[in-house]
Amino acid sequence: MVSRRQWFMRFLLRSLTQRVGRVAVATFSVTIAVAIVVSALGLSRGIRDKLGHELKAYGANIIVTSPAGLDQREAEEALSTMPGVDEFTFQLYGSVMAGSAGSAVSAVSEVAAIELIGMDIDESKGWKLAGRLPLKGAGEALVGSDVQAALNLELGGALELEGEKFSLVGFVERGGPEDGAVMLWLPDAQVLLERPGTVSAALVRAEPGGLEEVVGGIRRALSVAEVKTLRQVARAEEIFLGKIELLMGLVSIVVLLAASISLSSTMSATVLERLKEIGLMKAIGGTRRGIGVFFVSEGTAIGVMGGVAGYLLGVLAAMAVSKGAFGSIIIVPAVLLPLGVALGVVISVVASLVPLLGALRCKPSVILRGE
Amino acid sequence: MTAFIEIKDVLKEYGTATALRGVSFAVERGQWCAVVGASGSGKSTMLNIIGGLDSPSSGCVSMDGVDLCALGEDPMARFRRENVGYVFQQSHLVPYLTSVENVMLAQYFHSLTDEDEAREALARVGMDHRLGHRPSQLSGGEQQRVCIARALINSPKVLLADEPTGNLDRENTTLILGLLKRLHTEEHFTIIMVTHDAYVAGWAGRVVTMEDGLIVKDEPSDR
Ligand SMILES: Nc1ncnc2c1ncn2[C@@H]1O[C@H](COP(=O)(O)OP(=O)(O)O)[C@@H](O)[C@H]1O
Ligand SMILES: [Mg+2]
Repeated sequence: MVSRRQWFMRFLLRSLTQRVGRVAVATFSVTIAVAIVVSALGLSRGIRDKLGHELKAYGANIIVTSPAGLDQREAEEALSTMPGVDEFTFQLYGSVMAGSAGSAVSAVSEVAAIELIGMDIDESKGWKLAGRLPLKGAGEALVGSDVQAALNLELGGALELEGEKFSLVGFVERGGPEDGAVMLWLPDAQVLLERPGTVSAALVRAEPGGLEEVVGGIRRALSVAEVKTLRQVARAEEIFLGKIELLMGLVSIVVLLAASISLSSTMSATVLERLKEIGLMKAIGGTRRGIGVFFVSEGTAIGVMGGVAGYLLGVLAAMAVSKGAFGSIIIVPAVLLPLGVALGVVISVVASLVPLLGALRCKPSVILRGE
Repeated sequence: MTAFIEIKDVLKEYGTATALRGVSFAVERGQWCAVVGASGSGKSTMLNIIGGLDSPSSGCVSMDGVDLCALGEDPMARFRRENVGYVFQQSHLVPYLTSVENVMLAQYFHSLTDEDEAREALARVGMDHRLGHRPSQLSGGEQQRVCIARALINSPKVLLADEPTGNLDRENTTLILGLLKRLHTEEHFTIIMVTHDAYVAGWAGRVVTMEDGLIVKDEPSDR
């Protein structure tokens, strides 16, 4: 004897597996809708996480830059005597031609322009890395994961930068600009970029209480420099992000609307097709609730399938977009999976409920007529 | 005392069209009644109203002492599954379910599903060799036999059949009528059967003739 519940599952399975075409179309519509929402949310969450991330990572709250570069000694003197400044560190940015030397396999070594960051590598403690941090003055380099992948580099191998050989001692992946760059100790970078005594930026940690005075002090001491607080940088990023989110929001709404229309027309067609089925169930004694449960369960199953598929597709899309637009990969938070599934179920059930309710209101005799 | 099935002064209007114009009619328990008449004369409408698939615009319908017009939609559905077995002209089966599953669907809505019982019901109509087939894999006559098995599975008090042999050839028609005859004589089923075929009507004990929304003749079959 088959229990009622078992029989219900058998019925559901039959309706899903014997109507593969219809179910596939409906599932696909849900997938697209969920994918759009997941990728849009994932992207905006991911970008937001990156907000001020760089400065925060160094514990800095003021950034000092100059288009032409800062004189390192001058900046060092000014900052070390400035009241309210706790700590500071310098970075130099540039781009160099890189080739993977000594790779026995490739006769012609690949050459590409890559970003170079000169820094106090001590500051990168706490980074997740493979290998170890380069030693100062040892001709060693730390390589971001994207560069590693692009140039097919291996730990212990050598990297040729502008004709100079550096040994690769570590790889790092942080989801930030470091992924697409090579990191050297600051003096090495200054030599390589032929900018001795020059830095691109000073990252300053000042006491939060007297931030404005410190900013004013630095501006007076280093007249060529642009001085911004973390909050100002964050605000500029926020405005930029706001524009991107608005754009993504508009695109999402349009695509979501299109997907919903296609889904509900699929569902209407399906329910119309199944109107006789509904009339028949009523005729043989099905109550509105008993019949509704079948169709809502079916909608739920389609919603779950579409939700999971949509989440996966959305993650891939977010990763591809962030890679293309921002040059780094965004990690889509896993909380979006249950959210995506829930969204899929809601879309699917609502889309099937609208025509279903109409059909459930009809007298069975009207539905089953049609000789 | 009222009869087992009784309709009184039933009027049914669809918009401006009138399908039944004040029909009164009673069927006793154990009777096999045929309803004949031209197409559009109101036969299906009357059968649907008796079975609670439709409600009259005015007038009363009762079955086994229950006033069907007083029932709401869901109580009506419950009454239907307890008391009425329905066979349609077109064999309405769920296309993605097998024969045995289609019968079990009626069990499901009624109370408990019992696959063995569903198989037995199909064996009774000579369909035990097609249990796992879907409707599209069955002939018209075979589909109709599955419908009869489904109509009987919950032991209804009355079997309502709307042109049950309308789409069948003579051989299958005779087979289905033989089945109904056995149900009628051996199990004393009350049967109301709509048909426009005089041969089919001849199998019943009583023939009611309809014309333009009214009963114009009601007599015992000459068989
Ligand atoms: N749902 C409906 N809507 C409108 N008119 C209907 C409907 N059902 C039946 N009718 C009309 O009622 C009349 C009787 O129909 P019906 O009972 O189906 O006749 P029969 O079964 O004798 O052929 C016909 O004129 C038909 O067109
Ligand atoms: Mg008819």
